[in-house]
Amino acid sequence: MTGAKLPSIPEIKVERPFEYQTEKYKREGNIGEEVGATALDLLLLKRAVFGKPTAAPQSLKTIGGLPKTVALEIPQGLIEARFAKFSQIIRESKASQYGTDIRIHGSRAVGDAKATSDIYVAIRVSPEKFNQILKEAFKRAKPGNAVERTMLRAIETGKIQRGEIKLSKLGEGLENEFGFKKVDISVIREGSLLDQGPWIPLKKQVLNYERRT
Amino acid sequence: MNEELDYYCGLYLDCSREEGLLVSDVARLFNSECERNYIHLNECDISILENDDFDEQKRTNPEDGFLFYRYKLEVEPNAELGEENAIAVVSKLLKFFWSQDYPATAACGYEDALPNKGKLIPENYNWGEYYIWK
Repeated sequence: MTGAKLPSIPEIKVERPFEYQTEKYKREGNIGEEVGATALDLLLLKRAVFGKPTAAPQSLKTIGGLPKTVALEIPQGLIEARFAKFSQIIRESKASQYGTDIRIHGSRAVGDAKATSDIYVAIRVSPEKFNQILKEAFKRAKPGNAVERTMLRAIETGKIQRGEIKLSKLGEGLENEFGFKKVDISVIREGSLLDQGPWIPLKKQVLNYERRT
Repeated sequence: MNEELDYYCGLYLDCSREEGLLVSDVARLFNSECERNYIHLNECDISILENDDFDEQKRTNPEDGFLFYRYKLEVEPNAELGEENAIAVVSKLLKFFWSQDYPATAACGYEDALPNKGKLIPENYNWGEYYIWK
């Protein structure tokens, strides 16, 4: 880029912590424009402010500066029926071959997502299962090559990203169907840094015989 | 996952180009069109994603700094076209990015067959030029 004119730096919106949003909502009654919230976002926010509990506490731990809070019942940006569909697609996909403990985490589980936020889907697995998946996903790693470095990063973080486990297509399909900017589906090792709530488990799969009854 | 057919490549790219423009650049490179952040071709499918691990300090590490570049491209070559096709597609992407003076590294099973073994940080690359991003 020698000599090239640098592009202008876009204005950066500061993401307000959820607690700030709720306080401001109580005070002023409207924060939608400021945070770019959708009508559904605001509905969820109203619920949070006016006391309708959305979920039983699952984890009060915090990570990465997220405010202490509990998970919603339904990921922010989805309604119940759509979440059921979202869950069904994942459960019937290749993702379930890695594990059945599949959960939503991140800002859409907490309720402080922006309209453009990604949705994070974690397939939680035991350390043994994680190693098994890792071995398969990175079998072309050689000492010193970039695949090996990617593998070491996966071990360090306890996260195997969607491309390495062939779930990019699933992510793309879900993005198209549900309108998320990115659906991040990854395998997360139990007990790793990223294995932190709040969580929203995927809806359980409805078996065919249950549908009929 | 059959090893013989596993041509997936995680291609890490660092540049200050805005995401939408970058996707358009890549689509143009293949005389194709994009659907949001995806480009579908006969030779391969490409997703262009912001890298969640982006770190403006760590990316400058010459060894594994690529893991912290701003973008990650998921390149899934058409397995039916074999490894030659995969090498051609990833090489084309790498050469294009390097021609723009962008650092880019490919993580795949055929790194040795790629130009410069799939990794290049342009000389005198100014890491500080887009320090405000995240």
